[in-house]
Amino acid sequence: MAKISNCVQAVLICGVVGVGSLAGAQEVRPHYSLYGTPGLVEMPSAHVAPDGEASVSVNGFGLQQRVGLTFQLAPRITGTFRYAHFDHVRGPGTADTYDRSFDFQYNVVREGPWLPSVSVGLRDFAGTGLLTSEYVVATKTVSPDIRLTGGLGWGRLGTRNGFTNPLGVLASGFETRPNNDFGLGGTPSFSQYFRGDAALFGGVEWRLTPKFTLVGEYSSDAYVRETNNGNLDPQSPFNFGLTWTPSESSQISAYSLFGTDIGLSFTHVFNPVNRPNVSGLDPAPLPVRVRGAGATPMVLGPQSSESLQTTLTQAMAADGIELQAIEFAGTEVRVRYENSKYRSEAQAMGHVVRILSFLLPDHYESFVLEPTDRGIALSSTRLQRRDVERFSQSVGGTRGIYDSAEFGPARSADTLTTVQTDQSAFEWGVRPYSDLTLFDPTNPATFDVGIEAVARYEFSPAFVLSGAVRDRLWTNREGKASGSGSVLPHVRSDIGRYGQTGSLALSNLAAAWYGIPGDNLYSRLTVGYLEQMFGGISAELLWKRTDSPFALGAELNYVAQRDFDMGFGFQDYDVLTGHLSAYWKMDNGFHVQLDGGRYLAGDWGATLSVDREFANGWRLGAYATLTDVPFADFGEGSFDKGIRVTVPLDWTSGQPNRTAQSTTLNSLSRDGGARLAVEGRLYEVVRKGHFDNYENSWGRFWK
Amino acid sequence: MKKTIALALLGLTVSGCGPLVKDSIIPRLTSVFQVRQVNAAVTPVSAATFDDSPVPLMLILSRETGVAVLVQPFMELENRTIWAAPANQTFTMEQGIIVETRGVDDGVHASDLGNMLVEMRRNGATRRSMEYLTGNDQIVRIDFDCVYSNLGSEVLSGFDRTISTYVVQEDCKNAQIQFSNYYWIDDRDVVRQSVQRLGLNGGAVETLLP
Repeated sequence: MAKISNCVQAVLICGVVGVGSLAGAQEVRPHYSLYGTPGLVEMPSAHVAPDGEASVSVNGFGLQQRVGLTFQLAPRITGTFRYAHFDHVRGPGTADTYDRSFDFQYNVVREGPWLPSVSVGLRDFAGTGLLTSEYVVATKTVSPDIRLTGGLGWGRLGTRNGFTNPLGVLASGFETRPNNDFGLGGTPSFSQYFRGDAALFGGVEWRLTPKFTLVGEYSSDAYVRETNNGNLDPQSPFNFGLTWTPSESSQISAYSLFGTDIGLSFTHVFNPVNRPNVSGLDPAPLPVRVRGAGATPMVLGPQSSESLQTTLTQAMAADGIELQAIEFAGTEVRVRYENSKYRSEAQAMGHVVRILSFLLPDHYESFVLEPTDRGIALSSTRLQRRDVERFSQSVGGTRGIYDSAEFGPARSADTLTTVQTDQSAFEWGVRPYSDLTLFDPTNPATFDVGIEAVARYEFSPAFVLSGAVRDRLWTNREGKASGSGSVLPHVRSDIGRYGQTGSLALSNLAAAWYGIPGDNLYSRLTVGYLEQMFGGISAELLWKRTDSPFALGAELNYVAQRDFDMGFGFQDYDVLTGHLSAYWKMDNGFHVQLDGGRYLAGDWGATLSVDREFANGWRLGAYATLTDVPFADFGEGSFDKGIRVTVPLDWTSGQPNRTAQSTTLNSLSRDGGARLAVEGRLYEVVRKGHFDNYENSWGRFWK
Repeated sequence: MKKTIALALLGLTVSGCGPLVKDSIIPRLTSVFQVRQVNAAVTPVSAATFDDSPVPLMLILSRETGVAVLVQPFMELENRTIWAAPANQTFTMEQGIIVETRGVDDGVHASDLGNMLVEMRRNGATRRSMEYLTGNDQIVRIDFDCVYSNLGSEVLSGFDRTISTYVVQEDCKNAQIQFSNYYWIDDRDVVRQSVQRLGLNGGAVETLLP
């Protein structure tokens, strides 16, 4: 039943994320423009937010409303996803439209005592082109309260008082901008970048008080398209605004635009590295008992190994950790355990060490810890008890215990004694669920809400049968219930026809078996109704050393498409699908994954994913899939791509929790480049127990 | 002093200090091993609370939240004592100086005293190191240069007790941060009352050992 509370927390997360504090910020924050990026009113600036900072903004004026998510992906790289609504896009009386777009900005020069900050950026570089522009911009803080910005723009930003492109001195081709033919959108418009007429823009931010800032700009965007189709009649190139900053994390602005319109903007800023609860609210752990230091143990340790095993099992269970196997070998104790409470394996390891030191008789000199997940032992960490005692409370102790630890692969299970627990092999629960899809091309938000019953039977830790049944109570996706017009097999585009309101639907029902068939080799076999739309068999192998940032994987699936009623039946469509995968955990938290193979619609291609993972579990990433499906057959967007955000629940609540809430912003309704959504893929299971991963959060070892 | 006690009583009343939270490992282990442990949930606090307790009790008040907790010794480690609160919190103290907290928001992960225990008795100075856990799970260490001043004598009264103390002010600073702590020390060199900064963001507590 524990999952129920997790589910409720997941539902609440969107409201809680905003609590993130910005304590510790030393400098004046960037001003955010109507595009949701650091800038003036509509013009960009070269200002760079602190690394990792993110902003959510809601902006608009009469003709356009925009929601923007901007991330400082790396110290010099800023990325933005924008979802915009355009009134009467082709002129008065014509239909409205929604548009998704991406921005990218690179900070070429850092601001110094004399040098301004200089950035190069692309707006709407892979969308339908409604907002496409490029720029080079410089920003200089000339006094603590005044910041000047000037730049050169192309595309939309080159439409007011434009002049011949100075890049023409490099190649005459820069002087002409090709027609704006974006077709189905979604592809980078390389042929347009920095081409055609250029124009100057600039402005000033003047901080009147710590809470109020005046902004003025000369805009180089003449709104040509909107003027030509009769939607807008701009009277002035100057835009002005007043921004109120009620707190470090929010900005509220009102603008005068074009001499004719009023614009409003709200921006909320947060940084994943700033936790709402600064150091967390984790319950205090047991202290380390230092032998011979006058410590008065709570328990005079029982001496038989059976009694010790029972004692340790109870103590670890009280801390949310399941002791699965144990070995007493001379002065060494080896424990194999599964952590179901702490996101950080390092923290769980620290708690296990504390319990061992607290309860075991003094003659045990070393501890070997082997974390497991789904029954497979992931790694081994050996610690000397004297080091545990020495570093548990000292300044530098976190580093000290890391340096003294011996890491390696898990040892053989042959000499381990399996611990029998009284925990039931059968678990079940009932919980509400919500399934939210944001920023669809036709609807800003679609979602289902309903009731879900889940059950799980554990034959062994490595062999588990689990399933879920849902009853959808309400949805706004009914309009998608008719079949799609896709020319590809409808492996995703018919998703709106699955699980009609008012009837029980089997979300999944599958048996999964995990194993270690060889050194550094892990396996998974999953059979059953694997996901909402497909059932069958899925087999996977993963090679990964415990100390390596690289991994290789192979997955093969034979699946058939399920009936729309999400019962036990299947349709006629079946497919052999699978991928070879390469994983690379880079420095500074970046993860790269390349998957190549055959997708659900039978198309061949590859997916490249890049994610940045913070030590506290936050994860931001993007992916793109290119297959042999022609862009025209794929439909709007041309190929599958998206961005994704994962927020760990312990970040928001401050309490120990292994659950995270993930959101992917993409189109779920396209058939090209679609992968099977099988649960429990090996890489994410295995890497969490490898020390090249958990060293990132080693700061929590003594937490 | 009166403000401290009043806030402590208010805090105890508001926070309830009810039964031990089930997620706390310490009380759960207590039930597992049936170790003698006084239930520190006391409402309201009176002189009898301290008189009747078989173990020393200390009041710790969060200046930020105004919530107070009663803590009791949980374990002795050489010259340190771990004081435990029923609500999942521990405060490790060395001669009354807090050197580590757990279960406390904006707490201190680890710290040392340098030569503080000597210098605070002779208006001296020392360097102290403190470690904090950041929101991104990293340990940051900050060194402070601390100077000690004897502010004179003061008699503490409350809970049917009067305690003669002398007051030491501790001024610590580095390039970015500065703060002051205060200690009321009796004639047996026991810190009976204090105001101590804990966290990276300035979280501070008041302690009272009647």
